[in-house]
Amino acid sequence: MIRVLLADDEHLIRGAFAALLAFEDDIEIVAEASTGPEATAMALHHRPDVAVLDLQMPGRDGVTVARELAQALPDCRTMIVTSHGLPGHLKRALACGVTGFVSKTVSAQELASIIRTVHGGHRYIDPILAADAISAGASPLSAREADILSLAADGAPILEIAERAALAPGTVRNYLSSVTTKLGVENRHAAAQLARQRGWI
Amino acid sequence: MTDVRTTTHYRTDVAKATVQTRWMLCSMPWLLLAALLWPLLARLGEAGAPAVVGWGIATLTAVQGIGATTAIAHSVGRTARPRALLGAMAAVTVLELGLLPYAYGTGHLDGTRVLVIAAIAIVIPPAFALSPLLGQARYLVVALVGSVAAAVVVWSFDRAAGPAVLAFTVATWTVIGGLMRSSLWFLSVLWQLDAARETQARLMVAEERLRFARDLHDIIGRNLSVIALKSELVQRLTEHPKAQAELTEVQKLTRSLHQEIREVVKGYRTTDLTTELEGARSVLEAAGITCRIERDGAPELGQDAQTALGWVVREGITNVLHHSHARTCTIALARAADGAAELTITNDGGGHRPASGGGSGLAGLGERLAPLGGSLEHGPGADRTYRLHVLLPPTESPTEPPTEPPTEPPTDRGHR
Repeated sequence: MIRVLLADDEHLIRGAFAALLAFEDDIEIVAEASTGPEATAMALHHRPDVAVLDLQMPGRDGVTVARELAQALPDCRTMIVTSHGLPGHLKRALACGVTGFVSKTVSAQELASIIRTVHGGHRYIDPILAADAISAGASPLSAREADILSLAADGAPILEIAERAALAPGTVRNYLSSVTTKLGVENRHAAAQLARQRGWI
Repeated sequence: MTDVRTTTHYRTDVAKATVQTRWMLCSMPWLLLAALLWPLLARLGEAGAPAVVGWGIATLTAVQGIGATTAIAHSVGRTARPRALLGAMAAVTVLELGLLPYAYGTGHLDGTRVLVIAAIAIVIPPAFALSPLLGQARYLVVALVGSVAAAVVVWSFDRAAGPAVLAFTVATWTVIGGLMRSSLWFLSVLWQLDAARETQARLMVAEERLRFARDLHDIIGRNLSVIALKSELVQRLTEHPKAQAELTEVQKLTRSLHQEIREVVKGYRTTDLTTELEGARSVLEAAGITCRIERDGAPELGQDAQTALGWVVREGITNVLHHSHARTCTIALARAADGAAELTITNDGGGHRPASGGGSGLAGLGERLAPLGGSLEHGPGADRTYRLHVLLPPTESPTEPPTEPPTEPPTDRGHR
């Protein structure tokens, strides 16, 4: 029996996945969580074999939770489910020891089979998301920088970006200046344009 | 709507400014020539010169004026470069300078003032015509040569007038050159601003469209996932085979719609093989797999071949990623004996395992390579490695760098 933790802040999706995975004889949902901190706490309490984590959750994102679990529960395999195929996220997830990276368009049946793959010690990366990440080339931006830059891409002022990213304006400014330095461009608008052209954001 | 109206207003203003500047610049040589010709013709009348001399001077000046006006109109970006007219102007200028000693000899022209006026009238049209056509350095050289020539001609029959002619013609060339240069610079700045504004407006529309698509993707995508999952759930709950078949359709439709929206948001972009290889390395290394890229002696590849090998790299690397035991991966691009491009991806993680759920991508890859005459083979290699090997015959198409999205190069003359 594979003991699975499901973490997704959208309860409709989480509920549907849970109901569908319940049909699988070898999979048991031992816990459900709707925020990052909750997912970590539940995992520590229930010690699942596989943690299926949504990439974007309130509190802490899926990759951060995966990194925490990799340290606290080395036997627990982690998977990320996402609708955002940004190359930076995939690379950050891989670097944090995530062994499954799946698009949200996946069916529950496929997800069950991927959970088995991951549980068996293999890695599964959605081919389309992997292809996107490879085509984008080697982005010099970290995932966080890419996030901040994509908020800046709409031409939003620093204060608005800070609010949307839940960061201090000074921190946003630091991220953006590091981005413009890395890309060797004049300002954040040029950086956003370049990064979008290359598929980094 | 306000934006559109402002833009239209602005564009009309730029066009108006262009027309006004053109009129101003074109009328300037005529005003100056008329102002100089008036005292000259009056002087000829006092000296009792025959009418034909006056008419001759007026005709030559008119030809020069037309030449100057045409050259200015060209520089304001409206007409072709008036080569024939410029030749005629040069001839007329030389002719006028040649006639000066003759006019002086007949006694119709006398006095330093009159000679200076005549010399300036001769150099004004060439100055107007040449200042926009020549670079600054060449213009100054021509100005100096022209002024010295006029001064030498005058000096040859009237020693006193020579230096004065030199000083005034140099000043005339300089002032006209400066005036023309600054006016045209001003206009070109205006055009560049106009073009930048237009580009910005287009960018804003593109940005807005993308932002809208992203929002659409986020909102609709989430609900599409729910619909797909719910119909999958109903499919599991119902016993009815027909309903199950219908629900399969619903799921398929929803997922393909989701995928299509994702494609729209992602946008279209072309990448070259170098970018793909760098991307492959960065993804592999994020997964803790050491990646070596060997491309010494790699053949030059056309765009089609780069695209095809790009598929191979993406598929092959995704495959390597699926083997969590892989520690090293080598991607080698080389030229085979018959000139074919040879791409080999070797990893130490073991055999090919069809991706769960997604089916095998390598079979599809073989199908994609077939029309290009390429072949694909994969299997275990030496030392427990796994090897993916692709041969792609040379194509006739020349190497083309990947095209960047078209951007409007800023031009300083291409005004509509």
